[in-house]
Amino acid sequence: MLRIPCPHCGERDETEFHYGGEAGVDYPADPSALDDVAWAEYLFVRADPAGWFTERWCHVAACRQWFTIDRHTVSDEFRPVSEGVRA
Amino acid sequence: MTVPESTALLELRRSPLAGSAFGLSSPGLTMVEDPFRQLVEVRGERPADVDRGHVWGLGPGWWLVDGPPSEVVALEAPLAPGNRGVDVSGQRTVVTLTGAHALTVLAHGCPVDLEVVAVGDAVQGVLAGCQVVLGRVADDGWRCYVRASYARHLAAWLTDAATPYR
Amino acid sequence: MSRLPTGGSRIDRTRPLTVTVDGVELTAYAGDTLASAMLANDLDVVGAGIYTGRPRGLVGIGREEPNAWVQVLDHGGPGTGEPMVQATTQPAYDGLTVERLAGRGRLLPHTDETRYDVLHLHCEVAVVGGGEAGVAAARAAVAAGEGRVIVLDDAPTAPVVDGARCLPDTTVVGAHAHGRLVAVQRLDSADGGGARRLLQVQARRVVLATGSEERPMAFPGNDRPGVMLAGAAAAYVERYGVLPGRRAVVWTAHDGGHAAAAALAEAGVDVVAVLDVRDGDVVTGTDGGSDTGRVTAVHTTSGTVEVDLLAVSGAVTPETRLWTHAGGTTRWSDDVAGFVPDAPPQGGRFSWAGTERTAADTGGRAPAAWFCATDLTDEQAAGTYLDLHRDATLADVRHAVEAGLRSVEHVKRHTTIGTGADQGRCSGVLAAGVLAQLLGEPLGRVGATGARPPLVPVPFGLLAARNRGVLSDPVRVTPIHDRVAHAPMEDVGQWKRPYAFPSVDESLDEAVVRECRAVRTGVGMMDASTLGAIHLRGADVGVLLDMVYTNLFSTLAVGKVRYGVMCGPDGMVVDDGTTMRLSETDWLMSTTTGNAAAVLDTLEEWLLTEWPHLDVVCTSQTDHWSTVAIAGPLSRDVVAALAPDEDVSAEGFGFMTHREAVVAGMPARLARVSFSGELAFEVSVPAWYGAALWDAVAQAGAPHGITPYGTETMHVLRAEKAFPIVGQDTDGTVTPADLGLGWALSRKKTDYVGKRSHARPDAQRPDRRHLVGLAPVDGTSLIAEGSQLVAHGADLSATPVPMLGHVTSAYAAGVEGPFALALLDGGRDRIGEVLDAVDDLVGTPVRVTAPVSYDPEGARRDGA
Repeated sequence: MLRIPCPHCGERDETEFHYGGEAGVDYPADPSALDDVAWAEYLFVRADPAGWFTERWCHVAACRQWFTIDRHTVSDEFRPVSEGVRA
Repeated sequence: MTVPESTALLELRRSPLAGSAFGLSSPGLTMVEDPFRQLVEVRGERPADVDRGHVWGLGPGWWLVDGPPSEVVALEAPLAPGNRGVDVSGQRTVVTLTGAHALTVLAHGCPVDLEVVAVGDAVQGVLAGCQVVLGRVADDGWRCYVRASYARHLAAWLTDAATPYR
Repeated sequence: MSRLPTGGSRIDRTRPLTVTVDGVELTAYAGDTLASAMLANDLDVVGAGIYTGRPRGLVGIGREEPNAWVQVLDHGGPGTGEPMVQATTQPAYDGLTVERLAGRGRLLPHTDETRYDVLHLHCEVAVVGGGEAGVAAARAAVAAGEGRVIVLDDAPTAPVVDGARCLPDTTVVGAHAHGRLVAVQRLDSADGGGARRLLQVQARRVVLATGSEERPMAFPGNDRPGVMLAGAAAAYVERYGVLPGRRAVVWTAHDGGHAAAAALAEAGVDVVAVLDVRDGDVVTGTDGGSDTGRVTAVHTTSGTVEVDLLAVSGAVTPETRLWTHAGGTTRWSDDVAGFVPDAPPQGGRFSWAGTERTAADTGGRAPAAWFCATDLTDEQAAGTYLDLHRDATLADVRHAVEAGLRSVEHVKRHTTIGTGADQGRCSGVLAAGVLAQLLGEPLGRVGATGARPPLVPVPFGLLAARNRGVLSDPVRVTPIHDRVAHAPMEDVGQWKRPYAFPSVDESLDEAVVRECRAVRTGVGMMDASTLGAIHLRGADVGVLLDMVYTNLFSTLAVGKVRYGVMCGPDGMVVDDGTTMRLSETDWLMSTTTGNAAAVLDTLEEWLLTEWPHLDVVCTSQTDHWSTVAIAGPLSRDVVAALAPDEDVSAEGFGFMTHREAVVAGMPARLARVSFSGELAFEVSVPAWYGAALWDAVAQAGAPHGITPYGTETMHVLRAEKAFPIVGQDTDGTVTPADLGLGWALSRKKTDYVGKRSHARPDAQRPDRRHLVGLAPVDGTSLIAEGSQLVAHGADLSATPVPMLGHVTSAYAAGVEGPFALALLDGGRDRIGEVLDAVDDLVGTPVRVTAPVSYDPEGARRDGA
């Protein structure tokens, strides 16, 4: 059971959250301008590091807010989003 | 829309726990349904306090207003327009838990740290598999807002969990 | 009796009690364990080898015990019992009834009615262990003002630490990431009963003060009753006032064994010799009695002694299992001849507190790391037990090494050493040490096997606790449920919905046929309250809906309703439903029953993460509204009677419009929508009035023979019109075009979620799987849901059989008999073809039809 620090509600059990995957993958401004390869990249390709990873969570069972946070994918430690990384 | 001459209609209302024989009154624990409250969800600024009611913070800019039952029959709770909110009166019912064992009964099924919730604050979370809002009205007093469709399950669970405290 | 006349720090001699072992009553005292009661009553044999059946005696005094497993027949209450309980950790109480086991218990033949529950606890500091180190850590945390401090101690009496909450009889069975502990608390242990509580303890910081454990050394004949751990033997005297033997030899590899020998001697045991590995003394074998096999003589490198107790101590080392559960590492330490905590678990929440003193600290001799002699014959090795619980010997480890195994984890699995319910406390390091000897490698490199939760056996009933039977998962019901509860129910997610309403002399299928006929020719009513309802408010709702629905919504006029299909960015259908516009700024979206939460999540995700500039607020109203659908050519008459002030004519109340209306005197929202192709209305009222609405509709419809119908009838009616059921007829690989909903894909809008994917070449292939209808060629055969579609007459024995598609939903009771919907490769070009629908290797010939099998012209929408 991960304990995830919600910026609004504090630390809560993982089961209250919905995982949102890698942060910083914006919906393209004009999808029709992308070729099939670039669109597939947006849809399906995500980073999968063994180490620190900037990702999104939604506290669905409580405040329902989305937030971005760093998690270490090996130790499951959380820390605030690193400087310079866009949410 | 309000239906005039409708006091007889009030008799037709059925609360989610009507007929379920839910309720407990023992020295350390009282549990009872507080039905037909006007419940309104409001976004933005904190809405004004409500006479004989509560205003709970559910999240950033998100409020649940809990007011006394309406005297009129309307498609939308009279409380709603003034608070710019959306009527959710039928969405949840309220179960009150009072007494020295109230927090313990909740802690049998809710993984949220309730000891640190201040009187006047609410937390949202999961209690016995049901999504709930738990508002603390006193050191030993809670208002539990549960989705109407889950109310009977939660009532059965609370009744079972309260067995040692009867 | 081996009970001493005085002594025993844990027992209360004023409270005698009786336990029953294999039908024999044993007297004991409050505070005894089942094991100390057995020992006090001279029960030499406490179990038997799981494979050898050899009689076995007590070895330990706590969780390390490998032999004394019992089946609890009665925990002192009806329906109680437990398959596999360690006698050394089971409190004795009046009425406890057990059978000894040969290493393996039996599942209870009845429901476990023992009282179990769960409690969530939160604290800033949790201390595991109430010994010297744990108490010191708790005191320090209290003194530092760290907040709530909880001490979890598995002893029957907890220490007292001012300002901390100390829980006795509480065994932590798992230590997990982020400071979560799972513990088992014995309730009312003084009076027994087996009642237990599962504690979920969440701590900001955890101190593991789990103390130490003793391990034996192995030698030929070491499985006889009377061979015990030396520290355990001494502790039976101290805690319970019980003598484990009369005449003993103590064999040790460290100074602690000498202390145990002294304690035994002081209690009156005739300790005839204290042998020390470090002096070259090694036990080489034992003799036993002909009855229980209890040890009668010990052969050593310095001669043979006649005794009834051989007390052995290989080492006393830190108990690090919880430490490793949490992710901490261990290293071999020559100072204690064992593994000790090394790197702490990541995240900084766990720390170790111990009071272990090495020989250097005490000025004594360093311990020897002795496990087993290396020069034993094959015959001796086969009688040298490394794991008594698993009946595994030195010969087994030799065999594993000869077979080429080198990893300690592989040897564990090959020999089963350490896989027992005792988690190999007496055997794990022994086996690792023997492996190191055989491989000629240092023990630090061989390493120890990992430990996994739970630390001790936990009954499944305790893990389930209150979540059993009707409480195992929430059941959701609508406000109308009591009016329809007599019907057979279908589970739809957590909802209970009536499947159909068979009369006493009707089958379910017959009921569905009758209900369908009623809707097609008369009028029916259904509880539609489970549909998801999401209220949308704001200036930009139209903009949002234009993005999340494939078709255009922003143009929808107030008072109108529109059907929409929702896709993911990958272009696949995720939901469908109707949305009505209530005012310039207010809209009410309905979703499928199963997707209400997911659709709300999706809307809010787009709003919060991609389009925060949009002025839209979403509010779930699923439970707020109660809805009754009134469907069929006579529905207008029923609604006219219910709402006499409304013009419900085809002209006055157009298809896909809605309005507020007084219905049966109640404030309501009335809509003209249809999922059956027939003239139909939906009436929604605030949920408190749902039951009254149902009654009013039934009463108003009675003159027209209104017929309640269930979910199966609804599905048949929908399917005949080829309205797909999202999640049943779709599976995440289906586009709107595949379903024949190409008309709902806006070409005007520059974008909607899924539009770009719909432009991919793969989405345009003519041979994609399309939704089609199927009818049995013989007109009567049932088609099974999930059947694979293959060419008619395909040879089913010639694998692989080319699969052309599959049946997504099938119905026994259509207007023209059985029919089905299917996804079929290039299906729209195959209409009229005959295929086989294969279920369980039997093919049913089916004809491919257009998906709409009823009223394809839509002539019945405004009524007959």
